[in-house]
Amino acid sequence: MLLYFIVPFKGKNLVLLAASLLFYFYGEPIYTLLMLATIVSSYIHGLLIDRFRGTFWSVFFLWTSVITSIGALGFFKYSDFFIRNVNSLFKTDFELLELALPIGISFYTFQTLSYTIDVYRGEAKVQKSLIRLATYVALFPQLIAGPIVRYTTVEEELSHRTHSFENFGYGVTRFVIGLSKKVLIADTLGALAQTVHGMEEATVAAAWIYAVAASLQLYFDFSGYSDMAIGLGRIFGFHFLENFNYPFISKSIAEFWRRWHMSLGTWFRDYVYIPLGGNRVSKGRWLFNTLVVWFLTGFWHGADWTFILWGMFFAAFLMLEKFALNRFFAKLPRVFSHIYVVFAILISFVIFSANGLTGAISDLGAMFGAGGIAFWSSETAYYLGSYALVLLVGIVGATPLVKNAVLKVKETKTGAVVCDILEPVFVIVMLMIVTAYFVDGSFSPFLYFRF
Amino acid sequence: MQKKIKSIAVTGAFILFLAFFSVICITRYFHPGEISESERRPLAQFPEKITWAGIIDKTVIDEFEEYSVDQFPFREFFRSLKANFQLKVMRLGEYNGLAIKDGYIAKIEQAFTPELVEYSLGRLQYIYEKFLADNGGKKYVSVIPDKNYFFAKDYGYLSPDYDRLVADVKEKLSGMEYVDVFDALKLSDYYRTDTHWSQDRIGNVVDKLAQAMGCADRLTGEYTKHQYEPFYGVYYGQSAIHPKPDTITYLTNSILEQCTVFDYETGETRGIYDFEKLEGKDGYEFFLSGTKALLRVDNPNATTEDELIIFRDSFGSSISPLLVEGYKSVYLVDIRYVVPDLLNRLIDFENKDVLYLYSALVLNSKSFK
Repeated sequence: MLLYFIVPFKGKNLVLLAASLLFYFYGEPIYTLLMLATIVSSYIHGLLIDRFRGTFWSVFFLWTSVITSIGALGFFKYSDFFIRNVNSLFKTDFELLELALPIGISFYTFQTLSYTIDVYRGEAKVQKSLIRLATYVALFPQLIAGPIVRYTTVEEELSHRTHSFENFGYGVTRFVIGLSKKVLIADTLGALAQTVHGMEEATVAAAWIYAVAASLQLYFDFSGYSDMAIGLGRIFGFHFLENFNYPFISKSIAEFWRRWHMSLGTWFRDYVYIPLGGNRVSKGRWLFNTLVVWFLTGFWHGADWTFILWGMFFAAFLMLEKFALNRFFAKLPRVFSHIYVVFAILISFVIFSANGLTGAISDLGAMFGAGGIAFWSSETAYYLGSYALVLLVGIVGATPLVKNAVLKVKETKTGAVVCDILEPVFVIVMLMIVTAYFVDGSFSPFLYFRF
Repeated sequence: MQKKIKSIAVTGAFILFLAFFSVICITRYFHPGEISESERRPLAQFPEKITWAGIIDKTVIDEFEEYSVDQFPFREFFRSLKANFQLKVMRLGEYNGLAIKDGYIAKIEQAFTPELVEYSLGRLQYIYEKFLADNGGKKYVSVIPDKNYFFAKDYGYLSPDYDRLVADVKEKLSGMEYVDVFDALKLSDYYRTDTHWSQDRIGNVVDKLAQAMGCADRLTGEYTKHQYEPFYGVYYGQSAIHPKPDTITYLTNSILEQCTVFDYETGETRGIYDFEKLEGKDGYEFFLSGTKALLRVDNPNATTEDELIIFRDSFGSSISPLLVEGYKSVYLVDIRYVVPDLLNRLIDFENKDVLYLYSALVLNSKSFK
């Protein structure tokens, strides 16, 4: 960081790139080569698409770019899934490749795709500097767990960006908030989810506690990481777009997806849904488009049928909303649509977190008392009591209540001064507490590392 | 302007934080810590060999991560900060599996591990069948509950199924008379910061065992109390909250003072209490010098020819001196440190009474493996 701020602007990208590659190499020594190959491939494809603009070759190079990127992603992420299914379907005995999934491959593949497609569409200028393009793809804040930063978002800032105390201060606060969300809330809720899920005697209440804890864990883990990425980006002068906007307050599933992992939602919208025709098509075609997008969304999250089921679950709800539910809930007080969304989201995240389809059926069954399990037990009461405050913090923290309260306080002059004085104190205190968790705890990777 | 000042303050605070810990980490690299006194374990050191193969297969990175966490500056402060934050701010019931209530610290367990319990009881059953079944003496067995039993009763914590454990003990060792000491104990009979019970507070347990074994009338029960402090129990460091240390209270009388303890391993003869151990890492080793495979306590003032063999864990170290008055000799066997098959070469089991005295903690552990 010291070096980055010391060197003149033209050297900053190089420093950032070197640091990013070192960071990636620390976690993925071998696959660093894969990422470099992806970067070089995108760079050359970008140049070729631009060079042959308006000709057949431009389309050709766009497709080779897409096939190369998707091919690498498919090979490393989905090979075993396909082999397993082929073996099971045709009773064959092909050996699994058992490749380790390169960290962040799903994110940087989508970023490089956005670059070549945008260059083809003329929405982005071709990047002639390999260092700049490599800096964009390998930029360490968002490299391994998103958000998916589109090339057009940082195109200008790769060449011209400003560094200021305002940017640095905002970045630090945002980074610390994200780190605290991950370490203090997500990991604690993760421990609760794991514990109640592993209880010897399952209960209905424990299954619901699991659903709430696992859902909030995912939210705080992923949104925490996005906060960190946005904060770190800001420290280095980049303005990444927001990735979460309090998704649990949504009144419909469609709204939920406008608030959850927004960079992925807009990516599929712009590069899959709209090219397929979007919603300005016949009803049948719209159903097809929706199914394709949500199949891909689910499949992007993991090479397992549970993720596909998870995607299809949302597709089904989006269709239901379009044809019936929106009209139905419009007649009811808003609280009912909130309840409906939260209920559907909890179910969806139970599927998402399940260990295979059988696990998903078992977990969902437990929520509704399948198998005659008891509703309550002393063990359930113990864990609920022990984690009550964290759950409460998680639930409140998933709404804009705290943010709104702080903004309200800042409206007054005294309140603004107090908040400004407290912010550095808050940063240091949270850094100390989070450091304490790192020093005392074991390594705890982000959930989205595996995507 | 105000916003800019705030940004400068945040930036400054963050950079100072990073700079301070970076400098200390570099210093620490040249002077790494060797052991963690509070956790009673060695600290990870900087990876010895940094090879390309080690980097590629990530072993070097794993070792480095272990090192950086173990050698982090002010580690004890940070552990304490986390413990206090979890217990007092987040109001979690446990910190790293430890619960803390009214100054007492206990390890919370949800359940016993059936395989471990079965294995431990299997070993005890084997010894019973090999040496004791027909030795002509009376045989007793007793289980000592862990503090978590009382945490469940008193504070609503989870507890393993002690009824099941006792039922298993009775079933596996059906040839022995089970002596129930659960109701003779309460939480305050244990050290606050350690797993063990305090010798001066287990009179009720001694009475129950002595009555069952028929030696109650030979015990005077009159002792002089002595105290030593501070005693840092095993949970003192683990809990990281720096609770008030315990006091070791030990009991003496003229009979105990004249008893001798013969150590079969070293061939040495000592007294019941080992004062050198009080200053050591584990003050509880003061009782009968801690973990010993085979000891014999001889009572020169015995009014009986009866002898007792106690198969025991560390809980037996502090209670057995209080039973010595009732016997001419008490043998203390810790089968975790001696091959059971060789025991008949060292002890004549004929007509001796036998007591199996084990804590639930040890029965539910890999100690016998």
